[in-house]
Amino acid sequence: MLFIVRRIGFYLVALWSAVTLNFLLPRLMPGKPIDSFYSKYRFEIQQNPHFLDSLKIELGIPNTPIWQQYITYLGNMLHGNFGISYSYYPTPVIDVIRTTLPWTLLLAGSATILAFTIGTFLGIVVAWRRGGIFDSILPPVTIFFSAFPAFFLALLLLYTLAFSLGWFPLEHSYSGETDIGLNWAFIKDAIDHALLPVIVIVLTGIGGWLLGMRNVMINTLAEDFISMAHAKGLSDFRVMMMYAARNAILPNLTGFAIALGYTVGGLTLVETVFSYPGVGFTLVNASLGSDYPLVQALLLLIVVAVLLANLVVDLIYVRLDPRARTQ
Amino acid sequence: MMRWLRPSFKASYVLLIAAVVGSIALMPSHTTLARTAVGHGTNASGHACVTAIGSGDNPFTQVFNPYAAPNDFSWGGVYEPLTFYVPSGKRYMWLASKMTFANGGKTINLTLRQNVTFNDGKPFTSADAVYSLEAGKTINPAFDRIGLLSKPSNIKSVKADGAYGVQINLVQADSTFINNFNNVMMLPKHIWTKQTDPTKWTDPNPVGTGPFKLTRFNNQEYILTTRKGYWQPMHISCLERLYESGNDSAMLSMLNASADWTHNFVQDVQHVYVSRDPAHFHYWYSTISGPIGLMMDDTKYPYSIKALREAISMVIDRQHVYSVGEYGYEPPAGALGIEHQYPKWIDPKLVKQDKALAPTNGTAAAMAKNVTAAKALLTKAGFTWNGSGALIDPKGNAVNLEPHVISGWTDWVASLKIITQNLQQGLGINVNLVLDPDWGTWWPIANTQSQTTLLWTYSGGPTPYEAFNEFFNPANVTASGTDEETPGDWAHFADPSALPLLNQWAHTYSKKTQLALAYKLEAKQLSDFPYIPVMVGAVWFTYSTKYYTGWPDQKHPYANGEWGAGTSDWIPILSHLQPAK
Repeated sequence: MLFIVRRIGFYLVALWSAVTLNFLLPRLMPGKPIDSFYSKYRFEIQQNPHFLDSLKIELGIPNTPIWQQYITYLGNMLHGNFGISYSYYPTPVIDVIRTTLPWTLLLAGSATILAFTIGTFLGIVVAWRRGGIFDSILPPVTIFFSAFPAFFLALLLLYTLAFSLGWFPLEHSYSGETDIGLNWAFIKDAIDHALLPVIVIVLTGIGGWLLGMRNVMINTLAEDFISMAHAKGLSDFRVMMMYAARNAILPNLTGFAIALGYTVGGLTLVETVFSYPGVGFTLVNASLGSDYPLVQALLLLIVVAVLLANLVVDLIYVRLDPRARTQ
Repeated sequence: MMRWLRPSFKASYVLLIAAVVGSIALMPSHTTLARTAVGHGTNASGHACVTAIGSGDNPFTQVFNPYAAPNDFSWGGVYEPLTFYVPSGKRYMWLASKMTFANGGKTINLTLRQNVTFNDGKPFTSADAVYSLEAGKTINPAFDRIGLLSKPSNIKSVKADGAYGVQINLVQADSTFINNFNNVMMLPKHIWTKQTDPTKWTDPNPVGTGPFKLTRFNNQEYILTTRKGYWQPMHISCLERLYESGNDSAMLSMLNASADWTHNFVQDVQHVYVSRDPAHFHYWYSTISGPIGLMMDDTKYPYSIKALREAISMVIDRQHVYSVGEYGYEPPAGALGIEHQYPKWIDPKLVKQDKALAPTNGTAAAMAKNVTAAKALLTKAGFTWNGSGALIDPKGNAVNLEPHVISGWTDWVASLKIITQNLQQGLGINVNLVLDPDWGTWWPIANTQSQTTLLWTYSGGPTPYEAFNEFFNPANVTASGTDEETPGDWAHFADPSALPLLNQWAHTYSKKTQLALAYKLEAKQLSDFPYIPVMVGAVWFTYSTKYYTGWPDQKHPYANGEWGAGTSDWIPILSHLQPAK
């Protein structure tokens, strides 16, 4: 019990320091919030120099001292009041996140889970059949693909499979013809549009999981308790899964939890190539556009997600590995 | 051999095959693998809506408030102005059918059309018009677009004249006042008076006099559907705006014909886009537009010396900047900068001096002659060259220039590299070109001219008045080192002797008088030479006639092709478009 309380306390301190950095970092970047509007509307401004007048006033830098802004910021965070986004003015930050985050979670979440599952399972098989045909082919091939930057592979597959051959939709997260909701037409549509991006991310991600699992498995297979299990007469499958894999998966599980936490940050380049309206592209533009409220909210989301994932892994680890329970 | 390494272990094979089969079975079935080029919002004909795309969009949010940087087509598609002009100079009477002047031009009488309704069915009357014109007073000071709140204001009163008339009384006649109508959208008074804080209102379901009503919105597309009761006939049923995060996806949408209308800059557009379907794919990169020039802070020594600016202008190889730097899309600008935008306003007697100051012949021989002439000009102004050929100003210091440009703007980078070479080799100026990573770093430098940059001008009126006013009017000068964003006088320059001419221009509606004044102001521009025009800022516009025709082009410039979120000069396109036969 004390262990859990100590862990939670540690995470709260980590959260507070992340939140404070969250406040300082965007403000250290050059540029004022109104500048990104000038960039976007510079053709309009040439004809209509007063086009952004009301925004200039609304987005003006507040003249309260910075420590006072910090206190207000902490108070707002605690109340869940994220304010109005600057780059999407006057849309509230909550609305911007609400419309983009689910798509990112669908894309990045399912891609991470798939890459982990497939990669880990292949890692188990490859380690068990060490030296066999799978072991000679799979690790090099998957590492070859993971050496590609994701966006490069995305562009390649987009052009060949989606544009030239027409096997996949070209862009967006769903076609305009279905309505968002729990109806099968929409779900099928969303899956259809997520296929190619997920394939790209899984292809570039498998290599890491496979190799990691394989290496730990190979070490685990050399342990005495594996020989003991075989000596007891257990089937090969049971030894592979229940004894070797179960122990070897622990490091990979930690990595998986952290990766899952980071999915909240989005996959900017892949989203850009597929015009997938997710949170990654939004975050990049918000950072470049000095959109403090949106950047703060998104960074907070990422920090909380990663810390939560870490906390969950810590607790699961204790459950899975009795050795961690001893003080 | 150990038992567990026996090759006859079947379970792993079985599981692998099961996984592969399972994932194929779960994939949504396609009746045919190939997809046809289908626009969104389809019906039986396959492309029901005119589809407009940009590039580098953010996922859309439902902001249509015309005063808060709204989504595209809020202006023009939903909200409309009373009257506006387009780049060719033509004036369209829109919600106002007639405009007359009285009282020596001090009174402007507008007659409104009587059959106009908002898209919620309520009629548009002079009450709405007055409310919208006086938005700075009736709604919020930041909404003033006609100069109602400037001190001193030239507006005496704005009042309704019956249900369908508006009368504006000015203190002094001002022929440039009517240019403001381009920027005032007519708002429904019955909706806006109910808002507690219009500056923070997103206006998610906009009510305006325009042809469209918002029928569908999500963060990757929105659809504006033509409504019944619009005051003029429309031939298209809807307009769709699709989200495109980058050039790659935008380009693919253009190539498979699902995008009809874009304002994207496409490099090598003839080869990349038009050649794929020459019968249907077109572009019109109009050059009826203002100049882009090399700006410098004219209050800083030695840029304050006119001879230096003239010499720089004379050695810039505009021909190569045009063909190599700007891919042949942005022709050289003359010394006045306005030759392409207002060709009928140029004084024929000044053409020779114009060409001498901004030569466009790029041959080596011609450039060598220009260098000689420029050096003579500099010598006369007291400049010298030291032993290693560096230019020394009259005070004895080397002349340095540090142009800044955003590294991602490859065309400007290329153009500035050419200019850098011209200045270094021709005049011996120590030029250090700096590439800035992004807008946030570059813009504060550009809008204060703390270092020199290329920049556009604000010459957006139907006459060149604004072009002269921008750099001559002392009211537009801000202190050196402060931003010139709103007035656009990047050079921090003023010519008080031009002020009486500008005022005379504003006080007259006679085209003949204005032309005579223009000639005088042009002479002043050539003798003052506040900045160095380099090239014309072309307008980006591509269109497809596969599904819809009626677009403007070089031969029929009835409107600007490039739509804008805060401009009116492209609005006639909406009512001209019709389905292709």
